[in-house]
Order: sequence, then structure tokens, then C-alpha cells
Amino acid sequence: MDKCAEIREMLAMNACGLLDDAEKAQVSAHLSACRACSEYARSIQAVSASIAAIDRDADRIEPPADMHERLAAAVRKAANKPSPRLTLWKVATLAASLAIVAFSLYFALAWHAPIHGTTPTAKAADALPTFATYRRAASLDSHDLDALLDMHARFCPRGEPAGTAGRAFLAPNSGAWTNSKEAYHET
Amino acid sequence: MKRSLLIVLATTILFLDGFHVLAADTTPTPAVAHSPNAALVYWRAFSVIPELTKDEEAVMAPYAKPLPANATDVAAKWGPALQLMYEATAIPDCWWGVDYAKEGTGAVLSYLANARKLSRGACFHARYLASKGDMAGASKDLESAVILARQVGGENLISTLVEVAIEKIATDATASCMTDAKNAAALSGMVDRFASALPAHLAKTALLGEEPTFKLAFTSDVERHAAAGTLPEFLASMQLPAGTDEKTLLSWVADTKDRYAQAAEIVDLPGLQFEKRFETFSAEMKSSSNPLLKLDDYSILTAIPKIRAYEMELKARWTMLHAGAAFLTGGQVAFDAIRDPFGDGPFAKTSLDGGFVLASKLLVDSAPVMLKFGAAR
Repeated sequence: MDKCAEIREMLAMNACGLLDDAEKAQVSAHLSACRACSEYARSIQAVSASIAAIDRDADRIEPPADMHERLAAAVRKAANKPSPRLTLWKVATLAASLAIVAFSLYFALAWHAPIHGTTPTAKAADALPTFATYRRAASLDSHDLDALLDMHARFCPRGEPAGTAGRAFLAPNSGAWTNSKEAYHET
Repeated sequence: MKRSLLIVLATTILFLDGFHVLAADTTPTPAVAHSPNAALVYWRAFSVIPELTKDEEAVMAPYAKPLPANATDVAAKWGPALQLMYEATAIPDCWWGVDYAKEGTGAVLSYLANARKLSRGACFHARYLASKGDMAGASKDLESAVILARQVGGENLISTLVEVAIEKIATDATASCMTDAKNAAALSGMVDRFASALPAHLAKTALLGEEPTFKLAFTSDVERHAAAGTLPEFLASMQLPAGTDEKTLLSWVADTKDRYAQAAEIVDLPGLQFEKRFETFSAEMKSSSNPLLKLDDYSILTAIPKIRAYEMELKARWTMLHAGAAFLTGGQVAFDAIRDPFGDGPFAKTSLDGGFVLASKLLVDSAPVMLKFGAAR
């Protein structure tokens, strides 16, 4: 099982395009022998695709118009299945996978939206590393939470926002992300 | 005459005032004294986290053993950020400056991901220094990672989950640095200090902190949207019943307090008692008439057993570090004297090429908690 944890870490690295050919072969060999990891790999495959898309063409990436609705429908459908204990687990797993996909796409959108200017949608704002986002992510398992934090670390501004003692704000009315207290109060 | 006196008086006042301004201009302004806040220094460290290429990023992977040739370059790139991290960890007070009452649920917590990334850098740097025989340096890096973890956590649920994530990275790296008796002895002091200061009731504290955080943030959202006339949009975005007024929303959030207190009490119970009470608690949450508690179904309910398991995992990991160090420095007898806190004897030990693996009886996510010592693969 320890090997599985290592492979799952490597899968997360692979999602960010960080594995070389030898490491990919190692992952591949393990996946062909381990059903659990193979299923896990499938669940994060969409994440790899979305991140690859961000890398390829960050400026033009757009989520499908009906994506949010489809995600919501998928979760609702899963939630209506019988067997309470199994359902909760399945829903949590599905929600985790879907959340990662949604977060990565929406986060990419939010990040590429100008801080001042075009207002990102409320959904895009959701993908930022906010309390609301993390509150929903509290149900993720540790590997998925790690992947989410990796993504946020990759896209977050690392510098201290000037004059705000490390704080950034979501402007209350527009949903725009600002690191200026003045801009926050103006909105 | 009176006018002349007034003119003289006014001129004198202006002259003196001007002199005061001139005097002030030539005197260095002393810095305003603030009580030191580690978070401000951490933010400076975050700002110089190195940009790494994909190849360099791969060098930092915990499974990259032994460290590849370009590890020296990558370790050097982490230097400036780690220097600031050492300064920050020397400051006991740490406030991340998140004002939930003002920022609401949209409060940006970018420090969490940055803290984890900085800690990963410190742990990689520790492994690098240990490979070069600088165990004092390695110990300092590992200590810094654990201090940052504990300065991040405790405020609420997510901050505690990130604290656990960082401590897992740090304990993995510490075990990885224990390649022989000398290295293990060099890290024993650090392990003793942090194992004995492991936060008690981690899960309980996280849940107790989540309640006021959520209350402040949600109340702020409600009041802001009510004032701006955008409550209907807010209700729709939160999937709350249309037409609910501000007063009702605030009464719902007040009503969550008891639930969090209950959850905090339950999460601290031992095994079977926890399972029994949690089952009842889950059923009550799901059948509650308070829509806010229903909203919490998937995040909070799923998080309760997880964070409880993670608290136990940290206890197992730090005890395993004790046991691993004992084995390397004192042999099998010293190892056997340390009990698995979740078993009825010592940890299970398996020798591997380049090191050994310890496993606890504790299962987290259906797998035993394990720690790899040295370069075990």
C-alpha cells in the first residue's frame, strides 16, 4: 500500500507534467497490476487533461457553458443512489474528483482574468483559494487536497500584496479579486 | 495696536510651527513599533520561493532517492526563501491577517498553499543537507517545516488539514534523513521536542474553531448582500431557499453553534464510542430542518472522521520517528521498548534495501500508517 501512495504522488506529479519517461513507465507498470490505483488514475485523468490544456493555451481556455450544471447533475444523481454508507462514500469520491476538475478549470479562468477590469464570474471566484473553496474541499482525501494545494501554490501570487499585510480581498459586489484595500472599499 | 500684536503673534506661531516642521524633517522618523508577527516574515519568504523548471521540481519529489546531481542547484535556489523562513519560525506569534468578519466566505487563504510549498522546500533542503552530512542544518530545516505547520493550523478545519499535510511531509523527510545511528542521534532532539509538543485534541480544536470562522464569514456575506440588495442572488448561489430574509439566515447560522460543539465533543471520543455517536450525529445533521447544516453534509460530515484519523496518524508518525531513531541508535531492544500507541506491542518493522519501513496497527483510509527510514524503497 505504501507503493500505492508513492504511485499516487507520482500521478499528481504527472498531472503537472513532471514525470520523465522512466517514471511514467514505472507508474504504468504499477497501474497494470493495481486495480485501486488504476481507478484512482482514471479519476484524476481529467485533471491532467485540464492542466495540460492550461499549459498549452492558458489565454483561450474556457469551460464548457454547461459544465457547472453537468457537475451538479452528476453529484445529484450520485446522491440519489440507495445504500446510505456506500452512497456517502461514492458521493464524496465523485465530488472530490469533480471538484478538482472544476477547481482547476475555474481557477485557470479566474487567474487569467485581470484583477481590475473584466469581472470574473462568481463561479470563477469560487475557484480561488478562498475559505468557501477550502470549506467544500474539506471532504477531499489527503491526496486530492494536496493536489488542490499544489494547484493553488502554482497559480497563487506568492508576493506579499503591498500594504495589506499579506491579505487579498474578494470585492464584495463584483467578485473581482483585489489586493488593494482601497479598491476593496470602493467596490 | 491690537492688529499689530495679532500679526506679531501669528508670525511667531507660524515661525515656530515652521521650525518644528523643519526640525521634524531633519530628524529620522523612528519605525513604528509593532509586536513581531511571524506571518509577515513568512509572506516575504513566500515572495522568494524559487521558480523551478519541471526537471528541478522532480528533484524535490520525496521518492527521488538518492538525490540526483542537480540537487545542489535546486537546494541553492531555495536559500533566500529558507533564510526568511528561519527568521519567521523564531517569532512565536503568528497571525495570518485574515479578517473573516470583513472578507466573508470569499476571504483568500493563499497562505495555506504557499506554506505547504515552502515547507516542501525546507524538507527537500533538509534531505539535501543530510545527504551532505550537515545534520544540524537538516534538523533546522525540518524544525522550520514543523513550526510553520503548527503556526498554520488550529484556527479552523482547513488550516488544521493543511497543518497535518505539512507535518506528514516533515515526518516523511525526517525518517528519510535517518540513514544511520549518527544521523538518527542528530535528529533525536528535534523529534523529542516536537513529538512531546504535538497539539492535543487537534480535531476537537479544529471543529471548535470552524464554528466562529464560519459564523463570522457567513454573517458578513449575509449583511453585505442584504445591504446591497443582492440577497436573492446570494441565496441562489448558496442553494438556500429563495425568499429567506436576513434575520432567518442569521438565526440559522446561530443555530449551527451547538452542532459544532457536539461534533467537537464526539470527535474526541475513543473508537467505538465515536463510531456510535457519529452515526447518530450524522443522521441528525441530515434530517435537520436548518438548511445550513444540510449544506455542510458533504464537507463537514466527511471531514469529521478524516481529521480524527489524521490526529491519530500524526501521533503514530511521531512515535514511529522515536522508534526508528531508537532502533538505529540502540538496536532491537531499544526499538522494542517503544510501543505502537494503536497496537499492543512495537511497530511492525520490515528491512528493505537502503533502510527499513515501520508500520502501525492504525489504519487510515484502510491502509496502515507507514514510515520509510533511510533510503528504503
